[in-house]
Amino acid sequence: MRSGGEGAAGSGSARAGEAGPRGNIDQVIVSGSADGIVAVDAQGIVRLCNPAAAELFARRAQDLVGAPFGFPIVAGTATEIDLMLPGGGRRVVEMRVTVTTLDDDPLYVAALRDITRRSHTEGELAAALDRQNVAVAIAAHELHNPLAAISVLVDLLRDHLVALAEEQKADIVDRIADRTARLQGLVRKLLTASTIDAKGASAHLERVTVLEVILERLGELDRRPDEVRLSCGAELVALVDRGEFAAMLGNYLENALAYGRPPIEVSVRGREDWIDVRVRDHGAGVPQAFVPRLFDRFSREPHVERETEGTGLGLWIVRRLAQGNGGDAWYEAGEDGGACFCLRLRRAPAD
Amino acid sequence: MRCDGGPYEREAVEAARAPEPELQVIRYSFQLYVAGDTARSKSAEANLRFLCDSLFPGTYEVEVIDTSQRPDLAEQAWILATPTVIRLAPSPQRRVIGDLSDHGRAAIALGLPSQDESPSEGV
Repeated sequence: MRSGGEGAAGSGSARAGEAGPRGNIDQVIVSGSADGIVAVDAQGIVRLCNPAAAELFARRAQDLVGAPFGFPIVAGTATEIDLMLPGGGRRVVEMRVTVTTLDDDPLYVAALRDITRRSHTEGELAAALDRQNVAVAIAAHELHNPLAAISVLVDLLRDHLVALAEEQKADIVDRIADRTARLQGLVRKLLTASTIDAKGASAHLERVTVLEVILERLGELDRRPDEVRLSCGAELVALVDRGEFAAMLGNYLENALAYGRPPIEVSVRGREDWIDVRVRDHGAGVPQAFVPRLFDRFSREPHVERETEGTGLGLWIVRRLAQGNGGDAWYEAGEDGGACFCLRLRRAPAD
Repeated sequence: MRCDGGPYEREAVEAARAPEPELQVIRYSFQLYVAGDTARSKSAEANLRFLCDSLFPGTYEVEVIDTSQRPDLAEQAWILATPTVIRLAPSPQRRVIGDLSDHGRAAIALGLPSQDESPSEGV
């Protein structure tokens, strides 16, 4: 439904509410305004719009003039509306309305200010706060259990120091050490995640011999030799932040040992520009339905939720770090049913 | 008490039985264009229904059109912004932009009867 009437706004005088002096409507309404301005008549038909409004609507001014906009109504000083863009897009604007008169007829002047960016930023902020709340909740929950266990073990040791056999004492100390290591791992992940949130991956790229980092990490795992099998050329050099590569690999290995079943196979293959690292286990694999959410933050496969401690941060960290280093991280179903986690790194050019 | 059926009395009884002359009830019809299932959309719909329920309960219909689902309908109706409510009936059409939270202004802009007017009077 279109109505004619172009040119109606071009002449005559206007009294712009309290603020405006008498003068040409274009001058009163449009001049010096960074906001989009749409003036509609008593029938709600657009009589005039400025270039900023045309830009906001992503339409030509001559297409807007004569179109039925409607009576703009604002409760209070301003309200938010969505502008419909051609092709299905939307733009959130803040609308303020002034009533004036043109040749003794009422003219409703809607000032539109783009707040899409502000809305987007507010949305991001809300999401960040949500994440932070979830992070705090998870941290509190995950820290609580090992801390409680350590507390019980320390009490046991203190209260029965004399009565306990040496073997029992050694066992208790081992358990305390184990839970302390878990806590350290958890705190490391939370710190990494918050660093990524604040600064992104640091990605201080350097030439790193892949085999070196893998052996360092395997050495820290303190596992039986038959639990982890390694296949990696000694000549493969990646262009990556060494510390972040170690964190990515460490998360993959921890994940395989926590949720999969040994033997864990770490295989590295060099391509022309890339190095692919695969960490494969012989467990049950990841249910197909969960795969799309596997690398999301705080996502945990439902049935492991109660059995194993974990934050659902590890794989998210791996992908963010991998992408920050110019690579990627993804999941493949293992050939024999296990899980296979993959990491792609940039290959350093030959010296 | 028996009615003996005299001619005047019969006339009076017939008149009493005859249906009253029908009041012409105006049915209001609205289309509300919103963009997605947002707080703004819900607020606009709630405000529109509140106005209708207050002013002419039971004699109105509201069709809510989500422009994110039906951009074609929005394009056809030349919807430039949401929320937009169009009063389709009674004619003439009127359209208002905003979430209608200022009930008084919204009612005036949509040409709705005020609280003390009879619903059948229309505008």
